[in-house]
Amino acid sequence: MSCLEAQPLLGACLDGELDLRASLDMEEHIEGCPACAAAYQRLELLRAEIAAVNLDFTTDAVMRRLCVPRERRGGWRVPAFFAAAAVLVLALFLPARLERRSDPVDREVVDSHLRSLLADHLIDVPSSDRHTVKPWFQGRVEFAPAVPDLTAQGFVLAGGRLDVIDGRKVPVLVYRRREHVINLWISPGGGDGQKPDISAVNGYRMLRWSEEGMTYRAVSDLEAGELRVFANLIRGR
Amino acid sequence: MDNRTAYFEQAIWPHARAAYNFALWLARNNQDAEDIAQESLLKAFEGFGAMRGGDSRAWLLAIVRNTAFNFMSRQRPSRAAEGSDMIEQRADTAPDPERSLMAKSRRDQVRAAIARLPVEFREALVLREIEGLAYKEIGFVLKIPIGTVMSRLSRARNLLARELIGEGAAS
Repeated sequence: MSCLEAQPLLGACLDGELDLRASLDMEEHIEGCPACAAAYQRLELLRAEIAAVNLDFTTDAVMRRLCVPRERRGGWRVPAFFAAAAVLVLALFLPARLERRSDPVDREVVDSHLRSLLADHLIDVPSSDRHTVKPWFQGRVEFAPAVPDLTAQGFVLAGGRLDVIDGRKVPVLVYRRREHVINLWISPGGGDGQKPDISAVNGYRMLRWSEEGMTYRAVSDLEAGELRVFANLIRGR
Repeated sequence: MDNRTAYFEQAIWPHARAAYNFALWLARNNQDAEDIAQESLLKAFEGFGAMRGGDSRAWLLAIVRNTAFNFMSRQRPSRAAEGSDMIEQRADTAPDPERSLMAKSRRDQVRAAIARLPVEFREALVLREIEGLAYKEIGFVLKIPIGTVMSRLSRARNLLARELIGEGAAS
């Protein structure tokens, strides 16, 4: 593969949009070509720059206003819409009504995810420094969870929080990817070596797995693929 | 609960934040973005029969885009020109004030640099880097073929990298 062929594909390579054959060719070319390697790195750096800042501009006030008919557009349209939307905004503030699921803890966790999207509830210890977050948990729960730094992979640590789930205090790690919040609950117990299992509740995705006597639940509105990437990084693989 | 409400709750509302943010990137003005986002959610609610089983997020974002362009062509040039006072500040709660200040200014820089991109590059970049859409979905929202998605993204990234990273040896 020549530079002329490789250059237009650098972005698609970064975005995982090439087929296996083409991405192998690209990998080989980038390894042997300093110019294309530098250009590729530049794209990675740009992505990291964007992922490192919070670009979600919604606020609670905005979300509430979306459910109120606006005067300037004039007229009262489709009251059913506003009724439905108002209920959903309320769901941000009250324990949400959820699908019936077999596991009550899963349901509690997704409730908590909804509540946490309120700025006030998201984080007890706001810090992108894992050396601040981990000690904060010590003395508050029986075990302090490992707090991996995944900034380079585009998952930025936003802080930690303590939730009460099923009558027990459970540490929660909060990460951001672009504008998306990921909450990760780490609770003792549960089967060992249970592979990540994905489910959807109210439009949010939950990935649950267990390892070394701990059960992990990651909830977010991220795409399933990206949530799996996150889980694999947490699992250290 | 009727089908429409259930559909709205499960497939559309979870993307309300994305709808508002995308509207804001297009209109670059809070007030307009709220109008556009609400109108789009309303259209999605009314038109749910048109969309079954596919990708509800891409569908909603395509509605946002249409609504935004209609809206801006009506409003122009009064408010659309204000442009860069685009976004309401959000209270940041970081422990170290100096670091918080730096983080805020970096956030402002990134936001402003994206906001300055010409709209055809801005929308492609936002859908990819901020919303995380696949090329196929971006093509659906912007109504362009995949090849055009690639070339617009490439141009958008070059422009943005020049602003945020500086001139690289290879660009």
